[in-house]
Amino acid sequence: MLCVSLFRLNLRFLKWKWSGLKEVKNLDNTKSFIAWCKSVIRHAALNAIRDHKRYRERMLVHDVDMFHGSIVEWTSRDTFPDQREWAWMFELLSGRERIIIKLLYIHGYSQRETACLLHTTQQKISIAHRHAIETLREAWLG
Amino acid sequence: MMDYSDISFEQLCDRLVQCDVQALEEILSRFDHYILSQSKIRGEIDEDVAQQVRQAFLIALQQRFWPKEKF
Repeated sequence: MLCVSLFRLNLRFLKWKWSGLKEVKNLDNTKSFIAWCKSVIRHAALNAIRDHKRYRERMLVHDVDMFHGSIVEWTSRDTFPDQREWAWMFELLSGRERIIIKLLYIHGYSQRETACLLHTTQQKISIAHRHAIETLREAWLG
Repeated sequence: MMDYSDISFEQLCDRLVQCDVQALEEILSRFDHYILSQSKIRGEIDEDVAQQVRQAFLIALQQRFWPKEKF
């Protein structure tokens, strides 16, 4: 009799232990699924933000090229400086420098606002601006 | 239409395995707050980025739970 009751008790204990293990396993599965979802979202967000940034920079370069075209049109109506020289001088600048020149001189942004738009610091904008002006001056003066 | 808002993640996963689209929508809606929190550019939520993240998450879920389908 005692043996049978002990056996039943043991069975109950095993059953309880097994259900507990199952619960822990399910909990782990749920936790790992949530962690997986979060990591997928995080990586997708990083990729999307990077794509968005690239797209914005590309659009700015496109705008600058359009601006460059309008300058060439404008200069072709005047005698100074001539179209080829403008084109040549602008090709000496990097894409980022063209963007900075456009934002500073056409849109009339301050250096700090330009820095905000390009996600950089005002010091870097200042350095790039000075470098661009120096490049244009050297190119113009020969 | 059954209300999925009180169902646990575990049950949602089980339903997702059985190709339940409503479970997929429920998972997307539960993670929407997290998606918005991750889709910030300079402290502001960018809805274009959030939409792109939603699409990527949806495709990842579909590929995980319904790998035989072609997307």
